[in-house]
Amino acid sequence: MRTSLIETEQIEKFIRQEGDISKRLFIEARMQIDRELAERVTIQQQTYQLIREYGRQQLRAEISRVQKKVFKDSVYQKFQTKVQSYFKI
Amino acid sequence: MLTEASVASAATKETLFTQLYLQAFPAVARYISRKGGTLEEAQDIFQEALLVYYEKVVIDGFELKNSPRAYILGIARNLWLKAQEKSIRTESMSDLDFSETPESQPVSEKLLSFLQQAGKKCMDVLQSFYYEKLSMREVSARFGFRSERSATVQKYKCLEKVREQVKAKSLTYEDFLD
Repeated sequence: MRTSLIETEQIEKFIRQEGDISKRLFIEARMQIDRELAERVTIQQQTYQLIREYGRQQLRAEISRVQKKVFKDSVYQKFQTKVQSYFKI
Repeated sequence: MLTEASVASAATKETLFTQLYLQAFPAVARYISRKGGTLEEAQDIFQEALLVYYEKVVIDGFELKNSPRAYILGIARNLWLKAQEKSIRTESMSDLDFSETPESQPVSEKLLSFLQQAGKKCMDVLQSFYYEKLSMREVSARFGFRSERSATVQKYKCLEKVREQVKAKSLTYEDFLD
């Protein structure tokens, strides 16, 4: 694995508090003197948040597709009639 | 109950969501209609309840004491009550010049298009590991990597790529909220 990827992996382990503690302490110490590394750590944390949000959005899209199917497809007519009966005035 | 491995299949997800709509939606719809809500509101609440169900039960492996139907109805009730409280608060504070930030806001289309610049496959690999919490073995199987090792290398390459994009645009999660 190239050097930058090894560092990305070490940053991940530092953020997730996983693996060898000496390597995590080394990252922490380097962050004190290397501002660019400290910035990479911060941005990597934000990136995880964005990835989780992307995952949620994908899941929402899958749920929406199923909703469309059960409310449109005639196979689910019985279900549709039952649900609509709750909202009739 | 879904096993971890079956999280990997989109077809399985579709089957699961379809079953849950058929089993649980009528009960949620009846509850919302009795509370004076509309079908659209019931659909919105149900979508969020399914998301919570999937995250807790399928991803985190939370063991249900009751049926999925009862669990989803419980989540939907809570979501409905929260939404009602929020609208009451917003009305009573309508003279004040601020709006409350909801706990979980849907992100805009901007996020999707921005993240997909990193490549859809990259984003899908990353989300399957960091959001769906699949093991590297499952990630390898889902995306056809030769080994767990090559899946791991790919994961870090993708992570680095997205991280650099976030840096280049100086964007954070908040920038994507509507």
